[in-house]
Amino acid sequence: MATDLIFQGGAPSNERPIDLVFGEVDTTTSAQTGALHITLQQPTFSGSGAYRSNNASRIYAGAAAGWQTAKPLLEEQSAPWAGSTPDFVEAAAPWQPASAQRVDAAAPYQRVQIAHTSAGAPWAASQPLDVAARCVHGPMIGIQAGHSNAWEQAISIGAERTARHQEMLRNGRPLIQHRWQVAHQLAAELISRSNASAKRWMAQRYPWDQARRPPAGKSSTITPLPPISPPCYTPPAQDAVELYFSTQYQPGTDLIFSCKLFDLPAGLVIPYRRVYVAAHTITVTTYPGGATVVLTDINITTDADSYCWSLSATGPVNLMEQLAPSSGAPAQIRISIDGLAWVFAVEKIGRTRQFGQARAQLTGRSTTSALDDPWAVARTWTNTSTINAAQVLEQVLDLSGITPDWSVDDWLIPAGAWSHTGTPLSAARRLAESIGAILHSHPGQPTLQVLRRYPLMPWEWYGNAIAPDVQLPLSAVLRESYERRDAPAYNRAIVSGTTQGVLGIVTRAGTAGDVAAPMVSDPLITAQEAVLQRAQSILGPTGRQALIALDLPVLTGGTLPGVLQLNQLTEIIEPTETWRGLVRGVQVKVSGAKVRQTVTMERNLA
Amino acid sequence: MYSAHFLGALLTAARDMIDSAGPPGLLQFYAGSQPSPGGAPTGTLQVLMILPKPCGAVDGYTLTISTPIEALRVGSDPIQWARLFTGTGTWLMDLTVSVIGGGAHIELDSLSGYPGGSVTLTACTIGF
Repeated sequence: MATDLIFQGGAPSNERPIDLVFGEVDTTTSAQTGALHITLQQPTFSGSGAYRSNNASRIYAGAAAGWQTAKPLLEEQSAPWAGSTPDFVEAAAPWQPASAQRVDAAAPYQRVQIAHTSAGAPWAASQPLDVAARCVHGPMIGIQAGHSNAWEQAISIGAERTARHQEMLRNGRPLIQHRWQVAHQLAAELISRSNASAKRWMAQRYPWDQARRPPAGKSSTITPLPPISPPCYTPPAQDAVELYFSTQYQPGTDLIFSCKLFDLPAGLVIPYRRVYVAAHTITVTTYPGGATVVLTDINITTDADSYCWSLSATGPVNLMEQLAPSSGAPAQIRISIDGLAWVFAVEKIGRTRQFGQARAQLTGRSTTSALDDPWAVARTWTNTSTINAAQVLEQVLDLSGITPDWSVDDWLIPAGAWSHTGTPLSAARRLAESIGAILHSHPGQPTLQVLRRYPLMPWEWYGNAIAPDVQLPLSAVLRESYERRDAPAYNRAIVSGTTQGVLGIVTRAGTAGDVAAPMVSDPLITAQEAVLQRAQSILGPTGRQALIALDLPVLTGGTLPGVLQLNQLTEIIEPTETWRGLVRGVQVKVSGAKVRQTVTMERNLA
Repeated sequence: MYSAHFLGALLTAARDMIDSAGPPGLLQFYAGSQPSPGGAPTGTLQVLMILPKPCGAVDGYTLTISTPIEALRVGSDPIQWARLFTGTGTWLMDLTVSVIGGGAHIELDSLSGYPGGSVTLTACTIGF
């Protein structure tokens, strides 16, 4: 649309004309635009630290003391007076020491001559008496009264010398001359194979009651019905639904449900009974000879921190010859308890003798003890090329007659990462220690086992799909001891190699990982598999836990467990609760015909 | 030029970043030459230091990391540099390390050491 601009009148002559300019922008009123660039200065990071070698160094505490060690002060050197000299006051005594006096020289009379009256006649012929010459006394010697005392120093009389009787000697003890000592009662029952029998109530085992005459009348026949197993799932009231998941969440969309009655049958079970009766068959023979060995009070033990089974036993003194080492090798014996066999190398044997008794004591270990001092010598192992950990164990056991049983995850060890000096057993122990594994021995075979310390982590023990290895009721437990073993609730483990290793930070699933265990480093942590296994051994024994020891009978046959083994997940059924634990130690005691086992279990209370 | 309130907010955000993961942050000391920022380490890990959570407090222009922090030394090579991570391993920053007086971000009394020894961070601040 056009716009008309109409101007009227002229501009004053004395003023500047007004310019009307079209086509330009009025810069005095338009908006301004611009860019702001502000650069913050770099933040500063400032830190300071100190290194400590953690080696014990000698502490020179005295060097920093404000005073030196005081020296003894020689006070007499500064004393105003010199040492006094003894004063010989006796030098001024008016009398000198008296000298000994011989008083016999001053006796007033001479010795009287004895008259010899026995010449025969009562009287001799008389002689003219010369009074002066026949005086019975000699001439008297004048006494110097000033030098003579009348008496000598009296000498004390030893009264015992004048006693009329000597002390009589005691009569000889006739008992010393006896040919026999006091007899001790002969403990004949000590070598008996059986203890005193306990009364057995056979009536309790009868499935029938005492018979009685049928009552009068007609009886009705009741057909017994098979027991009805509880259903796997019972819907709750009001159409609600309960979902039971069997495993932890895994990436994916699969939902894995399980039966609510998750009690999967255990492999080995001690059933509930009012009475447990066991008749044991115990044989001890030389191995491999098979000659009978008489042993009493057998004690067999092992635990997760021992690489072998250990034996201590007693027996007759002839074991000294029967089980003596031969050609530098220890004797071996085989102990069988109800078919469960152990083979031991006898290491120490001694005897104790006293009146009426002579016993031999022996100790032994599994045959894998041949890998240790004193039967094996130390040597050095290294790897010049990349090698598997299982291969390292095979190299260590090469030509030893011991078979490796590798039951953990294998991992690669780069060249130069493996270096060890020691016996073959110490090398195998070092290898297992690097991943926190258990080094153990087969009871009856020359096999060295490397086992996981936790086949299942404690928080997995109660999983729905996890069946215990052994199940037993509390009624089978003869004695229980309970000890709390609480530990910090770590949920994160940091494991590192050293020169050629890897670093792994392992966090327990489902936790924040905010409580980290102290960092662990090991030269053999060279792969992820080693990191994970070592971390599991760190995170397993954490939190609230207990160590429980149970005394159990040894029951064999069928599904009875016999002697429990390490790492068996065991379920204990108590009247008020059912709990599970991992077997950490086993002790078998044989006394006569009585056999008991003490099982130590790790229980997690979280 | 900047208000303490403004810089304090930046440092608070930095602290929250260090603590952003579930696990606490990590300060790792390495041997070998320092790589480009965030690059792969050329040397081996010498010390892995776990920071507390929260890692520190902001006061004015400074974020003060809670110290002391002690960690095990796992290598025997000289420490050359350090790297700060979140608890889940997200890279945050690379730092220089020197002996005391060397002017680096972190000054240690000794860059050498042996496995089994320990390194203690006695003071640590981030500021403007």
